[in-house]
Amino acid sequence: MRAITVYKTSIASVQPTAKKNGGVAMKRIATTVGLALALSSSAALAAESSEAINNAAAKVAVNLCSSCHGPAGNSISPTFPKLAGQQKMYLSAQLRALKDKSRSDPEAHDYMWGIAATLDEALVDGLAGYYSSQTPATGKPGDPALIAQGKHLFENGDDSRKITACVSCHGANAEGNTIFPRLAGQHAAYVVRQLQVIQTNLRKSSVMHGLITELKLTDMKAVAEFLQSK
Amino acid sequence: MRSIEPFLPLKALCSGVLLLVALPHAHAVPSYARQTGQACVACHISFPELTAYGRYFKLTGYTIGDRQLFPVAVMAQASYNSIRNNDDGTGSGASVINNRNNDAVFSAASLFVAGKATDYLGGFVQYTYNNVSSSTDANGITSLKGHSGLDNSDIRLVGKYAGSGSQEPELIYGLTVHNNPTVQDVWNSTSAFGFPYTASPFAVNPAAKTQVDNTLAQQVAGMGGYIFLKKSIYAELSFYRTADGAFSFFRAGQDTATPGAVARLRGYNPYWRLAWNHEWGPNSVMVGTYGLRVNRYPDNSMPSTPTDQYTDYAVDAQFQSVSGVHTYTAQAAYIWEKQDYKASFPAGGIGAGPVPINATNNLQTFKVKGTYYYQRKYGATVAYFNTTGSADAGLYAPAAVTGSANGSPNSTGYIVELNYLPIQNVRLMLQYTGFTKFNGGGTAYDGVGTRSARDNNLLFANVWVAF
Repeated sequence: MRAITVYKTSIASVQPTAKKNGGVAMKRIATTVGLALALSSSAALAAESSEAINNAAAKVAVNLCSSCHGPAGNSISPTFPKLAGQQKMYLSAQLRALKDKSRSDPEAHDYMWGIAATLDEALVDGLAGYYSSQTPATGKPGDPALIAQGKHLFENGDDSRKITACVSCHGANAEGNTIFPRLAGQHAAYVVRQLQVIQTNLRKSSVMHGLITELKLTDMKAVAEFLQSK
Repeated sequence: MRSIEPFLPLKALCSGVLLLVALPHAHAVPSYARQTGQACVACHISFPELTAYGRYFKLTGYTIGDRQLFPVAVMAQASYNSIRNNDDGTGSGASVINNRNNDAVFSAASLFVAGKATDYLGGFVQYTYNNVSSSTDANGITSLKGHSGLDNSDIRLVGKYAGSGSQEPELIYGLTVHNNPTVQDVWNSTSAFGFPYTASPFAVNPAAKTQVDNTLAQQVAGMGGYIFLKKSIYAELSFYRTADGAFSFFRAGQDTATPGAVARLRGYNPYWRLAWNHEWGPNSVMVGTYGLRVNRYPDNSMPSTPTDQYTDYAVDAQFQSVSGVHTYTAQAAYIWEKQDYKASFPAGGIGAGPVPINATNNLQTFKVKGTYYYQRKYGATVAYFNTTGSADAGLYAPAAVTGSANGSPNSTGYIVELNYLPIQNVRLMLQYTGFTKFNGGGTAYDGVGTRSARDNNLLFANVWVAF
């Protein structure tokens, strides 16, 4: 975000000069060269700035986020979600929701509001980029019967209970897509907890609310077991 | 917090004033919550027991979050205390152990300055006002009065190292300056932040306690260095000296004038700690060892005498399984102490110091506790403790309530505690401590009257708030 701001500011400062001196050839050339220089320097600044943000984000991830979310976002405790390989748009949207406190489930309040408040916009995007580019750990084997039950629900939903197939948004391999989170490999206990807080409106999710009203705890546990195994 | 030495009561009674009642344990630092923006439960199972993240926060010098302009917090406790038998058995005028028995009292309040100073420097300093400090004058008249002083404090300078390509710090290292051996530790199996996390200000405690078990609290200055390698190996070496001179801040409020009142150590005394930590899923386990060797002047007012030597070796372990619904934790510690009365034994006692019959003694303490919390709100804890050691009638002489008929330090008991935290800053507690053996006996243990160990059983209902 910071990089884009620099770029826009540079163009705005050059354009009025070009219009004002439009009739004079030399000045046009000079303006063109100036514009080109300004653009290239903006691009360089943007690249440099982008690298700086990535470095800053990596530093925060390594020194702070890793204390709960584990190395490269592969957390150990199921209280904290795995972030490795998570969708970038989902991550930045969640960080912003935690920052402006519109995500208000108990764990968001207890653990993340304070941390997210310390992140500026550039870091939010930088961290989203950092975690989305990390390699997720392989899934954890679980109860085969439960996994099969969860797989069926994930892929087919249940029309009789108006439960939409998860696969339609979260992808065939639960890899997620844009604002729909990756669920593959996620801690089962975390998935169950999120389904519970969304179902009980403790966590806002306009898409999910209507789709899981009939989901029972046994369904949640099955689908979570399946996702954790992927 | 400061223990009462086994040999101290009679001496001090004779010599003047004695603070019979130790300050209750006191820990909880909401200013950290303001600094990190996180809730108490991020760092605490329930205060002061630390979660894995709480341990990380402490080891990194309390530096996570934004520095606060006023990094202060306050804490207060009010309690109802009921000892099973409040009559000390002497039949004299001052025959009541606690003249506020079966009564509600405001016990203590603390002010904390706690937080980060820079990204590498942080700590906490606690100042506590004890409203029910008990003092006995030269005429044997006991009264309650207010007393304030510095409580547990810890200041750290820290660093982290992550090698190239590493996605988390591989090494955390730091220096700490503090005023109680084990106050710097991050596992709750050690003494300073061990169970019970707070106890009745009117509790009658067994006479014997090892040096590393809060005996030197707020009387010494400790300084040391530690490393935490790959969240797996913790190693620390610290040294303790008397908190005098430039370090006197660390024992502010202590009675340094009365002979026998505070500990005075010779030189710098080593403390070591090695622990193995492992985390998997919602669980963590620690197995460790720690120890302390101190050369202590028998009488703090006589610093030119030889010293007695106490060496403590301890093994400890902790298990935690933490989640939002069901949380289980357990801690255990075994401390073995060798007491070498190099000074006191040949001299037959020095000043207000101990008068041991044996040249050397040993003392062992075993403690174990298990806790369950539902939704981090409703908790129950059961604990067992057992102290054994060599009998020494010089150290553990007959005396009403606090003495021993047979010179033995052996004491055994249990604690059952129920907790309810309506909000994270408020803890309502009901704690019952029971003794099956006290200072060497189950019945007529004190060598004066017919007092039984279970006469010291105590019900403690406490309201503990921190903001």
